[in-house]
Amino acid sequence: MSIGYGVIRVVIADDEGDVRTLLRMQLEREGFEVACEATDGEEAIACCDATDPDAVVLDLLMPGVNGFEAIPKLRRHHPNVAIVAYTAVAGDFVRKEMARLRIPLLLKSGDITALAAKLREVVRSI
Amino acid sequence: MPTGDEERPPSPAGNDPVSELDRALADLDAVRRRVVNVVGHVLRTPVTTIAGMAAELQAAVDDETRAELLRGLARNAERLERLLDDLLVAAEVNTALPVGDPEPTAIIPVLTGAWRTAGRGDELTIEGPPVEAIVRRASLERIVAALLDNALKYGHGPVTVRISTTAKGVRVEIESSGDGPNDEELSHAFEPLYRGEHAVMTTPGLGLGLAVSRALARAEGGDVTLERREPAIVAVLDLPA
Repeated sequence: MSIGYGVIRVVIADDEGDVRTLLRMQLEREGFEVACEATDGEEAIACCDATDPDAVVLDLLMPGVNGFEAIPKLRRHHPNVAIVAYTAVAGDFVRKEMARLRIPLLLKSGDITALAAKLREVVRSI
Repeated sequence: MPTGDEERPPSPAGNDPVSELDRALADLDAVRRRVVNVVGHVLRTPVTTIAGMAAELQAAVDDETRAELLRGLARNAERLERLLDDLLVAAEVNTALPVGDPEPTAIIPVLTGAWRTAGRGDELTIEGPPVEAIVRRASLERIVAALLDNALKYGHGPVTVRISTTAKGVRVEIESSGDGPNDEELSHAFEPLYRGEHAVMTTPGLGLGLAVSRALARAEGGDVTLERREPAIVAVLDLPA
């Protein structure tokens, strides 16, 4: 973990290759380090095991182990890793569930400003 | 003067027309929500990816990055175009149907081509004769792609295709096992944008595949149906020959 050293290290978890590619480019341009990329929740956990990141940018709807299923496992095995849910789907159920789990929720956007700000905020608060 | 509070006698069919109207309005509202939720959410990913990649392209300093972004832009634009086409076909908008005249079209090459396009390196199991259907090739390709995509997305284990001839033409059955739809979901399977609860949580997609397949098959003089043959679900495609 890099807290105190300036660079925030992030795992990207999304089943879409183009989303991961774009997020990697955007986050690196914002000064983050992309420690690992995952295509589902299970790989996200493995990425955290392998790289000990500061945060996970977590898509919710993924085949295999989806984001909802990954959250309690991430919390159990990596309690000091911040999670930001980054999704295209934010209906009532999703909003309530993320509020219940106290996970920040952002809608996918072409502009990464909000995501970058939220990552800095949640990592500083841990 | 009647106030509307008097009891109305039941209609001869035994159905209350007001209750039927309420049900129809509730169904319409459910469809409206489904359209807004599913279309809005599924289109968000390619649209925001295009927007983000276009911004990154402006900032890119090396050719390799620019090439990667341009490929990504083209892929997502094509994906959006396909989604919009599917929406129109599922809504049975004729201008979205493939043009040209139906012609004798060999089915097995279309099946194997769609299997490869789906990224499958293993062999698709196909049983039955190498028959032809009288169909627009573009329609057959889209129907087969959608049915195989469904079988791969929602099934587990191998996909098997059986081809046979019928009195009316050719029948192609695509069988997959796995967590198939329950009876309630099966009854809605061909409704555009309908997706079962489990599918919504785990699998991306608009829920148009079956609606599109059926619209295209019917435009060709055929049909698509779904049958439960435990433990499998079988998509049955009938086409003229």
